[in-house]
Amino acid sequence: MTKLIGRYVIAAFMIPVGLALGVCGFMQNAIRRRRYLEKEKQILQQLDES
Amino acid sequence: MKTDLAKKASVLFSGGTDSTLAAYLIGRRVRQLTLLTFEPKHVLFIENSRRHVQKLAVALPDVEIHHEIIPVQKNIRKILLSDLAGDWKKYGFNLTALVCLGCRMAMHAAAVIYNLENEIPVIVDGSIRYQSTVPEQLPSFIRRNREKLWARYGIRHYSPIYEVADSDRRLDTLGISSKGGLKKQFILFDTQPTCLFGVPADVYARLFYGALSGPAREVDSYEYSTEKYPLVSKVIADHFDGKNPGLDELASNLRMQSEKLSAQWKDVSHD
Repeated sequence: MTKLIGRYVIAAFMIPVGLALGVCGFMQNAIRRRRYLEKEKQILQQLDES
Repeated sequence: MKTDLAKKASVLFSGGTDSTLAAYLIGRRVRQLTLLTFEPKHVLFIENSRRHVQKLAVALPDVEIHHEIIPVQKNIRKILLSDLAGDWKKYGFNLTALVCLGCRMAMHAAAVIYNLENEIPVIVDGSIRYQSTVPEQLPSFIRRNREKLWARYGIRHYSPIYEVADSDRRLDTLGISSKGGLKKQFILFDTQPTCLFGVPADVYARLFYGALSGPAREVDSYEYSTEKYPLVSKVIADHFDGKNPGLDELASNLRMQSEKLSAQWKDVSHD
């Protein structure tokens, strides 16, 4: 029973933290999208060369 | 008839269903199996990892099984927390998921040291494609890690259950599960520790760090791990500094054993 309560208490705190950070991360990644695409191209090029 | 892959192997072992199934599969092919459970300070109930060890010992009666719980706080400080402010500045909110990659790399450093000291040429883990939303289980990271870490120290690495999504059911069939439906558990697991940071990290990775993030996850994982590899190497080199035999000799001994082994798990003899 203690475990069941513990599970939901942790979930009640930690899942909203993950969701809040996720929404912020989603916006951050949308803003940085072009930079990420350029970096991805560079990395693929580097890997091809090596 | 059992076919030896090598005499000894180790497993990155949390005690969960994936690493237990991976341990069972490799255990059928070796004589000595060491289950490595790592203990950072931020996990709860590390002793839960012992439950499936007992079950494995019954399922693999001919195999000498050791279970080691290894503290990794120092490695975490030197690798994951080496420049947290700089990491935050560069990766921003994506650090929520990347900390798990840093933590995993700190564990890998400890695993390399253990394998070198105990002359174990093979290591396996319970990585699965279903969880590749988290950076440390991305196929690209696993491949890169084989080359940049394991191979560098002469260790052959396999992820034998990468395409398996129902390890709990398979363990039930094999009679190894401590109870049914273990995959359905969340947080406070019965057979493995719970990482408090793992909960928001998992939510973040599953919902926001996959397709929704475009190339961010792949790019970040590549850059983050590339930055951390020198720190991992330093932790390993510092550990063996001044010791005899030294790091190079130990790595070359392991390489001589592991070079003879198949590079891919699918090519390992399953007789």
